[in-house]
Amino acid sequence: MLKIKDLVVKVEDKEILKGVNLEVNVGEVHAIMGPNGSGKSTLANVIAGKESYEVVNGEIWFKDHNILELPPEERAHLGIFMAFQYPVEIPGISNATLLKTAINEIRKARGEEELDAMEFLTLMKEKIKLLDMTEEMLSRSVNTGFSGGEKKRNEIFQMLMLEPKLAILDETDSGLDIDALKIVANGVNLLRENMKDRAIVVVTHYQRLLNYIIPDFVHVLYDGRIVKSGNKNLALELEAKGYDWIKNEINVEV
Amino acid sequence: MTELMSKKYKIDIPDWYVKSFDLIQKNTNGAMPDILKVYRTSSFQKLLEIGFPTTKVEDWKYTNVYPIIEKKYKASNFINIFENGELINNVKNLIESNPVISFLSSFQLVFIDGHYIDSLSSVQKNERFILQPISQALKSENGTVLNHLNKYSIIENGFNALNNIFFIDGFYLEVKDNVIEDEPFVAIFVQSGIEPLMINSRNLIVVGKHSKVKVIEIFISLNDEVSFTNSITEAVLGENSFVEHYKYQAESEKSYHIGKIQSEILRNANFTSHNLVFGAAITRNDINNVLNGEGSEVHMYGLYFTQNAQHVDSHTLVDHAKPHCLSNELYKGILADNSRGVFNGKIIVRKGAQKTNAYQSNKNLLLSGHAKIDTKPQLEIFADDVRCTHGATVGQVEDDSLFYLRARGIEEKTARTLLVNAFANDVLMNMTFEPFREKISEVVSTRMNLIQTRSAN
Repeated sequence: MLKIKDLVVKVEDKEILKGVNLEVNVGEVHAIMGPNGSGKSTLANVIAGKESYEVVNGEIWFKDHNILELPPEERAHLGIFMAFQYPVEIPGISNATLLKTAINEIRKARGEEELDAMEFLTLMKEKIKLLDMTEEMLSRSVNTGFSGGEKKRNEIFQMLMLEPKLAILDETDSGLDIDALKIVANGVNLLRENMKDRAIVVVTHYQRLLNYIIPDFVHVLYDGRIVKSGNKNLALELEAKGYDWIKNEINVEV
Repeated sequence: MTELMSKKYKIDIPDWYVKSFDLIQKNTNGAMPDILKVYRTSSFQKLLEIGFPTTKVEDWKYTNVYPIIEKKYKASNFINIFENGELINNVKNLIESNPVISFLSSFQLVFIDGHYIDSLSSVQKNERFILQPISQALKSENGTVLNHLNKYSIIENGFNALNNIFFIDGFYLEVKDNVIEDEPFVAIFVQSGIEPLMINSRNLIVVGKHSKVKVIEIFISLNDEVSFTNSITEAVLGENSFVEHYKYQAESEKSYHIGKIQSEILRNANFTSHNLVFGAAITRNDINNVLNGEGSEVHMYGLYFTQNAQHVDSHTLVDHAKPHCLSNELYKGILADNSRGVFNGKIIVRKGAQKTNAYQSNKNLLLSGHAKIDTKPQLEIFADDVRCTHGATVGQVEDDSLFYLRARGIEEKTARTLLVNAFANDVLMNMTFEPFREKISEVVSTRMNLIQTRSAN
């Protein structure tokens, strides 16, 4: 479903990703872990299409599309969704307007009928309950005045509304208390109930989210490269031994 | 002042103004109340003396009026609209087809090139309020008109004098005490553009105690041609009254617009002004307010959305003359292409005006590297127990917000329009007349879409 080959990315002239290879198949949940500054967020953002990142080398394929040639909105039309690490506050645009516009643009791009206002409202009310949020927040401006936890829940709410094919969670767990973490994980697991045409990539620094969203594969990203891959036990090992373990192992190899 | 010095600060009055003055003196002598003749003569003397301001005058530093003054117009006092049935019919169609105004009130007066058009208007005269052309009000010897006309607006510059001399007509709204009317009172001023005209309109709003009304002034053009509109509205708000005033200006981008709103706000009254500017090549608005009774309030909201080489200058003034008053101001600008904005917000707190609260904010969004804004607060505070804040920002559409929306599947153009609309809605949301607010919001989206389509081609 997602195939990344030899990806090299510069941010403000500094090489952050130094040759990433990754393959994610339909039905799989992958976790990408790594210490701060290893390039995890850069990888998530490059897949989503952030334009200020310069792709120096490599390819990203999503299904049959070379998505590096596509603007972010067209990637979203294909079904790619990133939950932002730092969701942006947009005063003056309500959550409902954002979602309605997004859903209809995606449907339009896929040659589907627009959702009528009633269907849309029913859908929103149904999904928002799942995240323990009030309906009142639908009319509030996007993320404006939201707490950190509310912002993250709002990302997951948007994800459930847009029902992506590839969901990328960029440190969605950071800054969440345990109750909020469970709500978020629960939201992701709802998406996981139907993985027929879907894959999930969870980017995280800590193992604790992976207690609730159990990954099929775990990769360690370090200094711009995936240096180790394994199953869910790799995350536990990392938790127990810390990132220094990886650093030492790498240094020995070099 | 030496001859040389005065040259620096004034543009002398071109000859045709003098000739036009002589002509109107001859033409309308008998019909006018004596007091207006006095105003006219003294204003003409003043005009000769002060001329029009150059950019050396501090209040006009960023707005060069020479392009307005150098053109020769016919004073619209000398044209005859009434026999031009086709023109009147075209204006009727324009009003009916313009989405911003077609739905407006039944309380509506229409002026073409400054002349009142009875067939398109509906005069209101009842025990609660009077809405009629000011020319009729003056003829009816309504004492209230003469008690208030020209009592609040002083001659600050040549344009104000020009208005006193040449005004043809305008609307007169008189609201009695204890009247609450939801239906807005609307005045529509249409430039025909059939020839370059100088159009002077003069309006007066007198609102009684405990009354609450909305007033909408609309300035539009029938054709994309040159004309010069010079308008003054005076408003006096009785105790505990509430007036929400809207001015929507979308004249031809070849025309010029000089406007002044002068309010006198008495005890516990509230004047709320919405100044919405989309049109004209050069626009200068002066919104002057005197808080002249304890507990009075003024709220000033402004939105200017400029494109091409448009120039919009918004000068606002709040004079806190009495204690315990509030002034609150939010002006927002969206500037595209090579357009230019000027914001100057002056707040005077008089000695003794204690417990004053004054807030001012001006925020600008530049859509192009060639657009420009000059923004300046101007505070003159002579009391010590005052809370006063002001701030100004200039920015661009934020990349982070844009990426966020696009990552959700929203096309770049739509995302930009949404963001610009959100920026505008922050000020438009203060308009309590909801249908009008929605239309203005649509005007913003439409213009933004056009600008993007144009720059993509």
